[in-house]
Amino acid sequence: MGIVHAKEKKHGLASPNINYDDCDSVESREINLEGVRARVDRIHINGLARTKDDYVKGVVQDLFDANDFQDVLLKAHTVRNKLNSMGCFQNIGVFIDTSKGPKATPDGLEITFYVRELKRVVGGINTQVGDNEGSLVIGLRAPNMFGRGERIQTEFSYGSKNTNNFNLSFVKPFTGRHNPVFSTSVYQANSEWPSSGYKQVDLGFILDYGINSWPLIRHNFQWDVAVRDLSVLTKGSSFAIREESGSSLKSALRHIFSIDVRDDNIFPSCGSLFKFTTEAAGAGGDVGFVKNDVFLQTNLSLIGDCVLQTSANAGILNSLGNDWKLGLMDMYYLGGPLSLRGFRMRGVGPHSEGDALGSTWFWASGLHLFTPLPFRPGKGGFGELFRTHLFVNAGNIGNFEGDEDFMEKVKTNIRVAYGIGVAMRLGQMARIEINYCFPHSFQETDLSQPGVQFGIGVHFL
Amino acid sequence: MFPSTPLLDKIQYELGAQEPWPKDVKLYQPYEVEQILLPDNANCLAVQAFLRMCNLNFEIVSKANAEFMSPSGKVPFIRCGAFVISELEPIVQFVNTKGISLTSELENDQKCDIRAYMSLVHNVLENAELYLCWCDKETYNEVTKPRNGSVYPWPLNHLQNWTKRSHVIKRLKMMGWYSKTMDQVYHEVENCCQALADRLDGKEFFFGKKYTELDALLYGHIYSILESRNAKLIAILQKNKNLLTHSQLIHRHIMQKHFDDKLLQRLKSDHRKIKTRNIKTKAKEVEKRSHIETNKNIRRNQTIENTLTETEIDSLSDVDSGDLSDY
Amino acid sequence: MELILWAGDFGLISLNLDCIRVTAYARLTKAPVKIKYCRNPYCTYPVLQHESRYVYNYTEIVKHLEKLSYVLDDKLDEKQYGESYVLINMLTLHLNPVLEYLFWQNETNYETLVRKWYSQVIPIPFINLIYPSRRRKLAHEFFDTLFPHQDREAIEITLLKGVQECITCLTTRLGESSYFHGNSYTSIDVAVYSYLALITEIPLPNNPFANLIRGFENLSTFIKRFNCDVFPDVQYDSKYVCRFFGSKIKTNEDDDLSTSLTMKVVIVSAALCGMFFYALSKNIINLTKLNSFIVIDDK
Repeated sequence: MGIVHAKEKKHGLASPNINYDDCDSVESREINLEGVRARVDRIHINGLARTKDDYVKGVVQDLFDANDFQDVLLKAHTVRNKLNSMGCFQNIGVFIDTSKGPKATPDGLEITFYVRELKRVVGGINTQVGDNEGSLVIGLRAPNMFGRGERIQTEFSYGSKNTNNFNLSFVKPFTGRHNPVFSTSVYQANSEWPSSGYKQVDLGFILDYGINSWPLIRHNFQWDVAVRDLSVLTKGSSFAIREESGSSLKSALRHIFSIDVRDDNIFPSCGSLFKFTTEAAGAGGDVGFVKNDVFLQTNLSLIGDCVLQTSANAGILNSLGNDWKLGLMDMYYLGGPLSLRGFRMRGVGPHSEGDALGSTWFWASGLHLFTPLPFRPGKGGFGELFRTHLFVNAGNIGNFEGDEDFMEKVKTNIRVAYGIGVAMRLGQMARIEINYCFPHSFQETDLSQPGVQFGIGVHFL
Repeated sequence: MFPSTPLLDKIQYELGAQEPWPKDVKLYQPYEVEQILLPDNANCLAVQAFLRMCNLNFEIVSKANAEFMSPSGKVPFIRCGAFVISELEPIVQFVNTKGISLTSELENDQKCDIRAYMSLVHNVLENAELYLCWCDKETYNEVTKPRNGSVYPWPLNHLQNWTKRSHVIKRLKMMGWYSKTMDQVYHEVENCCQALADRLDGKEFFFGKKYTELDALLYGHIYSILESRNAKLIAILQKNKNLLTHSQLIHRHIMQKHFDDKLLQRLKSDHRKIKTRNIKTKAKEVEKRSHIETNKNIRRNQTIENTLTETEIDSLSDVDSGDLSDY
Repeated sequence: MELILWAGDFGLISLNLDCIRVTAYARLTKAPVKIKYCRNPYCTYPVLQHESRYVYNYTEIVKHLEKLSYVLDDKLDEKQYGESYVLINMLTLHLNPVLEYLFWQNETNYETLVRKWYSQVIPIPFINLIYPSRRRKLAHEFFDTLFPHQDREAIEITLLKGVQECITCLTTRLGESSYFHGNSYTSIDVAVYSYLALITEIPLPNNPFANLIRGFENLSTFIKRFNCDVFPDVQYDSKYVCRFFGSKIKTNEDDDLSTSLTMKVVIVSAALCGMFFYALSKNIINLTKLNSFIVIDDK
């Protein structure tokens, strides 16, 4: 149980008296809340057990700054959201009352948050089917371990083809102005890339420190160490892929800079997202490169619910020299329903016997016009999960080689595809797209996919 | 150890049979100087010897990840057009489909003998070599660990050594070798060498004057054992002098000639490069490389000659080289 | 002397390779051994107990017997001895993985016979379930290291090829004669019998190797003759599994249909009950409302 007292503040004018008890009566009255002076005297938080007081204190502190009743209500709501996002509590109730007792000020309020803490260990077992393989996933989570939001998560999946994946992570948020969060994880991940003809097993370790330098600007500093074991997927994989098999050790430092001022993750109607990633591998290990990626998305609201979205994505990879390895998994690939629509997965760029080899630079851009479904069936409800979109994608990919002018190379042989489709929101994170694509210009070596294309994912171009 | 070619490949082999031996055949193996281990070296030398016996041209490519590139996980393997074939037996079969065979004139029971004796070499010598490399503490710490891990950065080298060792131990366990002691292993090698020596008797090669893949396989193993400088194994070999003479013969007439020619060529071309470019660092590098190679080649010669007494070398020279050039 | 063996079945003295070899060796040399069976899978087999001394392992036991002047290969000359040695090595190299594959790697064999057999043979509960699955895991690991990145089918083809080569060698070597060397059984005959009998005699449902071996007539007759000469007392039967295994096959289909109907009813009602109680506990169904509904109905 935590109680927070407000410091005494001087008040100028006495506020009009309002009988709050009347609010329950049948007769309704309109009150201008902005005009109602109010002051928060005390905040109770009911239901804290292992959560430390000081950890919650910082979150509710804002409420004491409220001057009028509307402010109190709004701030109480944000505090509730913040408490919710801490991931320590199950459900949170807010109760506002006039303050009583000897220390009560004339228009003082007492706010009580009723919280219920999550259990010490939460877990689940489920099964997954996909990629010709079924797997059993066991997940365990220990939220709010030491009372200050620390949590340990572990997930272990046991596949029918003896592919075991696991992930063990520890997250520690700090209180402070810049919202620093420290997290570390150990993982093993199996992945198969039929379009490139290889599969890989990663065994790695990540240290991550995230901080806000400005309210909406997020920096992430990461150190990623991974042993990557690459092997051919089938006997028929091309020799170029076979040549790359074996183990390598990557130790990379990464900086991610992101600004997200969009109003929604999946179907934003305004705002932009900018993300810049710099990765330098070579601090130990035998893989060495410097990689710069940039992603930009802007949304513009047009008439009605129509949204014009432009996005651009580009990356450059520089090897540190011949003494350093550069794995297939470090390269850039282009094509597929999530990046350059109208092409097969990794279908653009150099191939060897049908297996995509990856390149050292790429750029891709897209122009989308999102509109609600025609005739708006299920308006305001189910129908809001869907959007139709018209799009044009363009992009290019290649390698640094020879003495050709780089800019010249970037400009020639641009691949373009356009099309129309339906997108569906899947929760708060993912979306599904079904598109009919018309590849407009492409190279002979590219694997284009005119017609219907289906895509599901988190990050779309 | 086992030929690993499923049915599909069989069909592919037959389709590929019409084509002649291409010019750009490459043999992939680990780095000889700093990486390769005794059992792998034996198999690589065996395949090299076999291809040379067949007078087939190929280029040796050293790759740190040769083991992982190989479709069966074992070295060496050859790349011939669209085919990638690893290990001696499948390579022999593949070469046979091109109409080239060392055993075409042999009787059926002799062919059976080849198979049986090759199995013997695989089962005893190869397992003994694996045991020595991965289960004998001294050899593992002093030779195997630094060599096998040499191509990886720390700490990946330890991880790789550990996984490889556990794989080898699993294999040896199933083949009933892991429970043996080092002395039992040496004893087994002794038995094997005895059996091979008995079969070889006083002949030049196992089947008279004509060499076969069995000779190539045995050469690979004997030679890499001599190179490994393991005193105990060499002592066992010395008890069967005819095995040493057999390897010496193959080395001189099939491998040596090739090595000498190639080395001479490379040295010449390297010197020319140095003269024209006049880059000091490059020259050093090349010198170092050629130094290593010459050293290695000298060592190759020395190892085998040390183990033979003078008289035996004399008796070797009695072997009619005219006969050999016919093959 | 007492010989401790792993359990036998299907007309074989034991289902362990070295046990068969040792017993055959002892019988052929007429060594006075008493056979004792043990059904603990974690022991190493075979074990020879001689005057409170225990000798393990085929080679060691043979050495011990030779010391007591029970020698099998005394009539062989050096060349024949060498040849036996070579052939036995070929057998181990090519057929050891085959045995491993047949019993533990092959899904059908494991599920229909091997697992059941082991669960019947091992008398201790739980161990009889744990041991086969652990043993199977070991076999999987072995094949993963021996044939990395290869599927079961490719492994089977590779093994078949090895067996084919091996068997061709044996038939050519054996020819029309009854023994591999001379006029009596020697250690090579013992080894050949042990391997081939283990592969062919056990009624495994999926066994391409047995069919391959049966195709060579002189080898099949060799196995039969050896069986009659050395193990005349061991009759073909199925001590542990086959009786109920065989009867089950017949009734399997009828059982499936008859049980399925009752089982369906039971399963569905159990599921419904579960759902109902879940709904009650989560207040999805309100019991009082339900009551009032029923009361109104009565009126």
